[in-house]
Amino acid sequence: MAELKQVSFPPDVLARIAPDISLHRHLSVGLRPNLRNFTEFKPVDIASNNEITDSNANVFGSSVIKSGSTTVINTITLGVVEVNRSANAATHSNNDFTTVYPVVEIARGRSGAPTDEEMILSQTLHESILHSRLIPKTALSIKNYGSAVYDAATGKYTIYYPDLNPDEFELINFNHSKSYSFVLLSHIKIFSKQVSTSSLFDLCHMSTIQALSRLALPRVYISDTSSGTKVSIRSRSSNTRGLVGVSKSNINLDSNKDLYYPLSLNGATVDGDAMVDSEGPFDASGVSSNFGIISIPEEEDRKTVLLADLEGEAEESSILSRLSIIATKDNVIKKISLVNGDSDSEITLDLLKQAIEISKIRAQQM
Amino acid sequence: MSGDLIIPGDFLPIDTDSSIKTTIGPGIYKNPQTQSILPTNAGLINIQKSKAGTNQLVYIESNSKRYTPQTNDFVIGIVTGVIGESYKVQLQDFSPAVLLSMMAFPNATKKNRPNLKIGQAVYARVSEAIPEIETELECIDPTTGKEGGFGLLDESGYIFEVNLNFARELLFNANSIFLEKLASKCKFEIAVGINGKVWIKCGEGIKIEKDRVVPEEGKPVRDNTRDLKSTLAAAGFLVKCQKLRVDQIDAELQKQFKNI
Amino acid sequence: MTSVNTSLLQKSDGSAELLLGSTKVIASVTGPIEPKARQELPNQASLEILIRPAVGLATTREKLLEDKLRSLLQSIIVRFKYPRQLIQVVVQFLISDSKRTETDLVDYTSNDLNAAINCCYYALIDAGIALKASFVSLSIAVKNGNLTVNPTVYELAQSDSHHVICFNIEKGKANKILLLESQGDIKEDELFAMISKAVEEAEKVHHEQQRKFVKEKVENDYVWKQ
Repeated sequence: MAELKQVSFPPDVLARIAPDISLHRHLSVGLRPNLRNFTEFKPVDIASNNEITDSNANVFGSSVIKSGSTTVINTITLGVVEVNRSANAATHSNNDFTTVYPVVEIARGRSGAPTDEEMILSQTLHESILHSRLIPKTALSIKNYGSAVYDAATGKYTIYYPDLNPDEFELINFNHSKSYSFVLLSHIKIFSKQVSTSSLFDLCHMSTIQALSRLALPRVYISDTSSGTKVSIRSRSSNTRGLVGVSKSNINLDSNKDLYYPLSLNGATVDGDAMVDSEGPFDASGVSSNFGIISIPEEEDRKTVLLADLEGEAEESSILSRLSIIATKDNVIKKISLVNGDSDSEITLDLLKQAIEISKIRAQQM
Repeated sequence: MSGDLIIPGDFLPIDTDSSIKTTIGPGIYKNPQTQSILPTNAGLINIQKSKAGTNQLVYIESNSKRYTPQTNDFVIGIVTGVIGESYKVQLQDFSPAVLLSMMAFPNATKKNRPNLKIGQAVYARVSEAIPEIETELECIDPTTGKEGGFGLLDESGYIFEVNLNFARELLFNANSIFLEKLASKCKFEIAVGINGKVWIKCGEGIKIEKDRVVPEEGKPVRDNTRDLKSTLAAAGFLVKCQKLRVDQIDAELQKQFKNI
Repeated sequence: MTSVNTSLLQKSDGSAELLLGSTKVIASVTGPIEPKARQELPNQASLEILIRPAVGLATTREKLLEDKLRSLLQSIIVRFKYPRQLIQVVVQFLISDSKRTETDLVDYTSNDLNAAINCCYYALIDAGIALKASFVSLSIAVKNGNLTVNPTVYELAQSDSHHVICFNIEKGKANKILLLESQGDIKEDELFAMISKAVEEAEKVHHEQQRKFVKEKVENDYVWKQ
């Protein structure tokens, strides 16, 4: 019978064929495979310039974030929807908040239908921004929309706003009673994905908050298209049989950057045109942090350790007990998502407390 | 202690004395890491101790519809294909196919192979069931090496499905009343597979037209429809019995055999 | 107001219908069955989880619910007992109070998730899938430090924070948290107060409801026994 020989693998090969064993060996000597400390987060760089917003007319807020090789580019564009005024807002404050509609895209060298990971990231982001009560509906509702008036003498349109040009506006025969609101569409592109899905959520959250804090909303005006032909509609519901004139009015965004105004996020103070610098963008929204819990065999006992900011295949595939927390520096937690996926590495209440504490400290440092 | 309800996560009321040898059966799982024994199904607990008190047996009697093969189970399978020297046999819809070697028949040799066609049913014994590898069946009685009742099931029988707990009752409980009751109405042959499939045939069964023997002159023409009706009624009766109390069984039997 | 009905789907291996508050959901479990080649895991069972909403087609909202449900179920099912097999769980909402078009209320998924988890428990029990322990999930709304268990969608909208918390039940005690989804403005002391109250509530649900419904199911299975 052939004798079984012991085979030894170099560390990088072992990490690929037996990620769990490789992870245990690293942890038992007090190291993580990515050489960070157990509760050390991967550093995040936030680009300070606003180039994407400045160079693209249809982008109203943007951010670029880098963590290791992972790059997250977030651009926010706008949509305008008509809102139903009769929907009474009398219910409660929770109902007075809205959220972004994100589309997360992880570059992987080919195109196709979104993967489950992308869909889950988008939806988690959508829900957590909604429930962290960050964007008041009123901040997105369009007030004082202007009207474009055609001047036959010059052959040009001039836009008048009720609050900026009250005198001229009075002269305009303006009977537009509908109310409109902006919708925030966030496009998040992730390049060179290196971190785990839960860390990716942290980055996406951070980039969305950053982009929102830089978001500048344009003025909106309405221009009546005089060229629009009158369409006859036989109305059945009303008694006014016959021709009903439908004048098509277009809703336009005023690209005059001087008239842009910042989005007032809940909790962040707005002073004049710019946010007060002493208040960071993450004060109200909080910072998202993720943890993994794994127990490692240590001599005769097992030791349970908390790892911050999971990264790499070994950590992602072998750590099933996970925790994701969005905490603000004012001791308010916006979101906790805890899954005890591994019966050997249980997340106890003490570990939860410890993780909350770390998240708060991180929020204060951001 | 037997016959009580137990659900997953409950305390398993067994003797944990290390001198007692414990045998675990269905519904009980031993965690390979901690060596702890825990109940994993909801059902009725059964604990049996040997007279000397050195052995104990524990299992949970519960109902399910999905069958997991165990060695020495008697099953009914449908032949769905041939792979090399083996037939592919389906024990339940959507379950992984099991293998029935062509050599696993009495007197089978390389030259003298059994002749099974796709769609035919066999009564067989599970000879090897290891979850990690493919399960194997055989059609030989292991003690005698003879047929022992295994093999091809006649196509004039009718195959229907029952819950696994009811199949076990029919097969293992010698005092079970259902077949006795049925015997009062008609003559039948039955094969119960523990995988929930039951094959039954009353009289000549549901014989197809071409098999019908041309009656000799002078003898009355034997009417097959009565056998067909009885077979279907018997199957219907057994299926219905799963949801009836004992005192309702007689009425159901009368109802099923009303027009026969 | 809770009602459970098991084994109602003939073609699946296990099924349950649960009415919890104003949410009604039906779950079916099929398995262990033969997986597709790409789903097969060599040493344990793979899970396929599908959630269908009460109205319309499944969207990313259901994908996220599926992901949460999967992370819970994969830890509670004894997956090493079924190597190379597939367990398929389908959850169909019949009535869901969170997706209302007539009101302008924001979408809360917590009641849906809670009902889906609890319904899956009964469906898995019905299918006879091996579970490491029982589990109970609760949907909780917190307003000024006061708890409401199984809140309505209006109570959710009034709340400061809302939580879905699922406990592992062993030997009649809620001994660990399997899943916690909390959102809103949560204060740390409120969170831990909520958890300790939820432990009591979960044990109550386990003893008063789960045992009762499972007992009924087992009695129904053996109705023909003398």
